[in-house]
Amino acid sequence: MKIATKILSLMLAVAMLTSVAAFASAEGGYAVNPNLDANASLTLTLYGPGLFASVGETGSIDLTSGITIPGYERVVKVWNQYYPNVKLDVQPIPWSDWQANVATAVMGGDVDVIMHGATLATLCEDLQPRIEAEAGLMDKLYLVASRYTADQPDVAKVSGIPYTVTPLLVYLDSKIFADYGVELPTAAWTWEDMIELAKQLTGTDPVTGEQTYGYKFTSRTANNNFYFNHMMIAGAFGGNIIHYAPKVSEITADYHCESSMKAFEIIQELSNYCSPDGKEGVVDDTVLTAQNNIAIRVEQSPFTHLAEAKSAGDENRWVWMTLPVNEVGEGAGKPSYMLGENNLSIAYNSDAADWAWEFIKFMTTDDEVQQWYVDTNNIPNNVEGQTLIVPSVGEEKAAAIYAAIGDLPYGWNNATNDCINTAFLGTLASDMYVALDSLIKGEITPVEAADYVQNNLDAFLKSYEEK
Amino acid sequence: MQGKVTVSTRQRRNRIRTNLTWYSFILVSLVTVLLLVYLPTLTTVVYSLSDVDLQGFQATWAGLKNFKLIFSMNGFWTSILNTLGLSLLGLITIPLGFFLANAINSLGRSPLQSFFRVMFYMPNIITGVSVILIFQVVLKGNDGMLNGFLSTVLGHPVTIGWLSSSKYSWYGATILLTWANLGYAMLINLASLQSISTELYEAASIDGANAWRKMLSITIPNMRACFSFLLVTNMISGLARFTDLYIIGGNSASGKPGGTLQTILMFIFQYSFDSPQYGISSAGAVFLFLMTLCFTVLNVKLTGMFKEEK
Repeated sequence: MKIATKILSLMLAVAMLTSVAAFASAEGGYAVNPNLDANASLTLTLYGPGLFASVGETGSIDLTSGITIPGYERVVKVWNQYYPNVKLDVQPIPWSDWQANVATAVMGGDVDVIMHGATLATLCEDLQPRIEAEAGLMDKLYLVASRYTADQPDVAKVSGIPYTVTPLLVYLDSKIFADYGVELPTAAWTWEDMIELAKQLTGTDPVTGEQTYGYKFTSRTANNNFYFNHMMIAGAFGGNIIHYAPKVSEITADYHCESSMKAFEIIQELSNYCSPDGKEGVVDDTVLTAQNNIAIRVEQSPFTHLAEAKSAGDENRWVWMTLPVNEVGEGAGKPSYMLGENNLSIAYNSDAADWAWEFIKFMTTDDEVQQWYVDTNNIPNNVEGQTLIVPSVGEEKAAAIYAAIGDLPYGWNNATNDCINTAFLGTLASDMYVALDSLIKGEITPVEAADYVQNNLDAFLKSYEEK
Repeated sequence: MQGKVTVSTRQRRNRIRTNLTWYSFILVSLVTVLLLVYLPTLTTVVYSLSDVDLQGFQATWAGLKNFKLIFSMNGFWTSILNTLGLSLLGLITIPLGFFLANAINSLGRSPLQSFFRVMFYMPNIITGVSVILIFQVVLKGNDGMLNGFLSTVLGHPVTIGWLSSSKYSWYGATILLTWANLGYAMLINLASLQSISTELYEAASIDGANAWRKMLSITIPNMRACFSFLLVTNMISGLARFTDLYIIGGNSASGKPGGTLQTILMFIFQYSFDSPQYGISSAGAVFLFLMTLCFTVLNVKLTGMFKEEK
């Protein structure tokens, strides 16, 4: 079975490289825009969280691998080679309360490019007209960041362009699988298979005699991302929980529907195979170590986990696998949908919007910038740029990444879709966190979890009805 | 007659000029307070009666709609219940501080007393965030230090998630608060204890009063002003509790676990920052203001805090 996985991975890698070769015929890289005054003198202000904040201006040292991560000064330097008089005023902020901070800064009128602004779509310019006017741009990029907005809830607005993407992968500890004599799954596995494997791999390891646990939920202590767990499973069973409408007051949602309840039930079942810490949710054990006792982990940041695996002394111990497949709908047979991204947007009140757009094009197409992303352990949103990860992670792991990010419908995003909305449906993400947290601890049933989320959402929607 | 008027007018002008000089010293503070405290407070009241847009903060009159809305929200009433419950549990620091102060006072004015005074006050000057992060580990259900201690004492495994279980989270949060604030309550109690005249105790001893009688008839009645002060200030800070519970919830105002640690301030925060609906958050803020005012007036009345001693 392990050989079959490898063969499938290699086939996927070949498919990806072939598609990249097809794109290679399109003109690559970034070129100076002749329509802009190259001698223009202005300052472009960038504000928000994300990659710029995490690497810093002069760089940082990855604590796991000890490798130096280059800072964003490298990007600024390349930009100024093209436009020496257009200065970049980079103002990175941490993730804490980022939405409120970004909203305040943008409404202050001092921001041109919002880093990670796509979710705050009402603060961003609609980029669709610019994309349509830019022939060939979308051939170079993998996806756009589109979101539903409170102003026009049933029409997705392209509010940003991602510069890096972050897939959610499953990390299978092949050592634990081997100790139990359990075969590794194939990419065609289902969520029921996941439960069965987690069950088989929870107990006393027959070889080491140590306690092992079958499963670990992603983002266990992260309020903003914990909803991923419900979203990806509900999506696999058809989603269709939130029904968008022309007005927010007309939006309806049913968290008791079949796909949602299935997700709550699977989460409850999987919680039986979590470690005590994984259930309690006070400490999030995300690091791959030589002492690892969790057989199946679902995590983002593949580069980081590769570095951890190397530090643990055996990078091949963990097999990278795509999420279980969707079982219903057009995406049936493809991995469950879930993809994070770092994006750039243009502030709706920017007085240098054309330059902001130029900067976004530069960040998503320039070859040196794509290499910078890979050097900072990120996966570019640029199709050609994505091939740059192969030397770092190897073909087999790259294939898993390509497969994980390869089958998303155009415009799909994990902030506003038919399973969740973190942008304008009140405290939905936060309520989901509370409900799932209690469900995993065994304090409430799936029905009660659905009740909690539904009641809070209904109360929020009622506030719009009265407007 | 005219001369008198002229002199009087001049005197008044001089007085005004002199007063203006003094007022100029507080002008900056006055303007700052007006701009940064009273203006936002008034704006909050206006917003609570308005529909407010995110872009441009345009407010349109909405009457009491926002109040009606929050009163119909289960989450709002849960947050009120949590706030009151946690505030009342937090009052445990007053009797504990009193007993601790008595114990330390009994050591007499000695280096040992100074040592304990400083040691018990120390948690107050440690950065709150680090204390909370440490306590998350101390109060963990799985291998937490408190559970380890209880398991040893009780002779059987204890796995209570003091901060992660909906059932016990109020107690866990109170343990944390008590540890952090006990030193302050002790210090205020100690200062008050040491201000009681020793002559009263000497006279009581001559009359044959034992330690218990002295405690009931001298110490506790003389501590009334101290208890009132601590009651009022603890209730006010309890009603505005936020930071520690926000961190316990994973930097979220959701009140994890199960919403049991969401105070009214966290409810307001959610509708101010997580999902901006300024009308709702302002209505919550006005309600909190009125609730704090009522509790404070009630406490002051019941305890006679500002009554002059006769």
